[in-house]
Amino acid sequence: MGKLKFHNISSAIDLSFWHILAKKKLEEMKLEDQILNINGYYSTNNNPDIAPVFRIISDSFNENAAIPSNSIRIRGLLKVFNTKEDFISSSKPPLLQKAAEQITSENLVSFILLVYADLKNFVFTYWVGFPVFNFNPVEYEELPIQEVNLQHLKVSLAEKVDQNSLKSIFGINKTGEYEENWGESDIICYLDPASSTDFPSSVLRNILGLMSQGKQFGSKKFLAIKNGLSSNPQYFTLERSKLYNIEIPETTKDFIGWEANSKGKIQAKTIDLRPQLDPHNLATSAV
Amino acid sequence: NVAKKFKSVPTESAFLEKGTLTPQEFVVAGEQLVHRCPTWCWSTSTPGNEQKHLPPENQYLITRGVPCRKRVRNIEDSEVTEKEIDGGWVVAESHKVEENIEEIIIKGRDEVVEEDEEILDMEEVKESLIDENAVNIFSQDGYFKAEEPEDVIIKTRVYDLSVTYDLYYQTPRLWLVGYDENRNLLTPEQMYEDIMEDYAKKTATIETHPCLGTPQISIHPCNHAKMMKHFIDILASNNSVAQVHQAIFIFLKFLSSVVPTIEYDFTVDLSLE
Repeated sequence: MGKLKFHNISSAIDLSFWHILAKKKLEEMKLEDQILNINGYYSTNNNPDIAPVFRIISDSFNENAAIPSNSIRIRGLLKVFNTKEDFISSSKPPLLQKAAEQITSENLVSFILLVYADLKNFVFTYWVGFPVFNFNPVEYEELPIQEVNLQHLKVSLAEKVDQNSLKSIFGINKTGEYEENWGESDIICYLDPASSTDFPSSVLRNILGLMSQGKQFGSKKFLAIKNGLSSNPQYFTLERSKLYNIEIPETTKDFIGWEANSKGKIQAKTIDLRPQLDPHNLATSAV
Repeated sequence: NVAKKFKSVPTESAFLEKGTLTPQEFVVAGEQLVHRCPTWCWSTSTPGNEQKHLPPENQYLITRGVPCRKRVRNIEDSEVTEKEIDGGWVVAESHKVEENIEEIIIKGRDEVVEEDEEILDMEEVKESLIDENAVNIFSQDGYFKAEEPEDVIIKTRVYDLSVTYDLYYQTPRLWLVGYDENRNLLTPEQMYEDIMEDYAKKTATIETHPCLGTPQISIHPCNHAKMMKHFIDILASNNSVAQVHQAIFIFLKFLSSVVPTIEYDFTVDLSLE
């Protein structure tokens, strides 16, 4: 028994996303500043020394963009401010709340990307809000993984990767049979991008929040799948996955989740892409 | 690109004879890669950079966030022995980094990407962007994160790798974008630390990524067909015939001797020894 803690998930934004955004801002969005839909994805992986991330890619404006078949697409929001002042003075909690409204059992993770683009200098100031339910610490218990028929599960997962139909959350029954409808199943399984085995990621936090909001109280078993997956069951194991028993907590619709910068402060970040635009600059800085 | 204009798009297979691929064969081989190694996927080109000889949904292959735990200079001699084979190409005989080797503390992690603070007076902007409300909640008994993520998660460099089709050389071509432990972009100089010395100065060049239109480091493909042919011949001498759908696995196999510490995913189902 102990108090459950969660690994936060941070954002990883492709360089090419900024290039596309700059072009869109100049040619299409111009001075319009309404909130737009974008998407991203996350995956499980075998690298416990790499912090869990969700990715925003150059194709993020396309809701059908190709993502790796071992990944889960997530729906998020983008707000581009026209001035630095607007960026700073805008009220942040309602923006996070907007992103939180996108959290459903189909979309366990959402985000809002706030951007001020200084297109003259090609410097972007941005901040990612990644809403998670804010609730008091819950007790949890880790159960022996042997309770789960991992071999059986592996075959189901490989099949889903193969068919490009992997789900972020699903259930398995006592015999290890895959169940799309996870609400009533014996073990609730979800893909956990935090590969480190000490704690689950905040994906589980949102699952607990959603169940609580849906009045599904009581104690439930959750399987956090923490290994990279493949279309061939021989190419992966589930040995670092974790089985937990958790009491569903009481929650409110209170969300937190503005992302910290690399120094651990809850602040906006900047990225300066001038060097990226100039091949000569890159070449001369090379050996 | 003058060369591109004069070179017509190849349609006849010369894979077994020359080790080259047609655009169609590149797609077939790429399909096999994304199927077998689902950390890779296809991507579209950014507007204006579409490669007309490839389907819009199969413009290039990409894998993101690939760990790179060590610099090439830190690999023990015993782990990699280099062997020169024909064409001056050096092959690392064994490149797998042993899992029980202690992580090396990477020098110079503080010298990367100094932000040009003055232009936007960013410190001031950043300070003003602190969300007081969020800070209060976050600092509440350290509950939001696992308490010791800095200890638990040993941060490493990561790379986004992409594979394009090079129309001039008719081979796949590898491109790299690296990030440091805090997801700041690596400079080209830092990225050269992850390329075998023999190539870092000779065949790793900075050019415009054909599908993205931005400069990136690339491994120059001038010897790729020769290398591909070399592996095809090894297979032939073992009485097996190389298949087009294996081409990108072969390509990634020999590129792994150029970037031996970037741990990208490729499953070699070939007996190449």
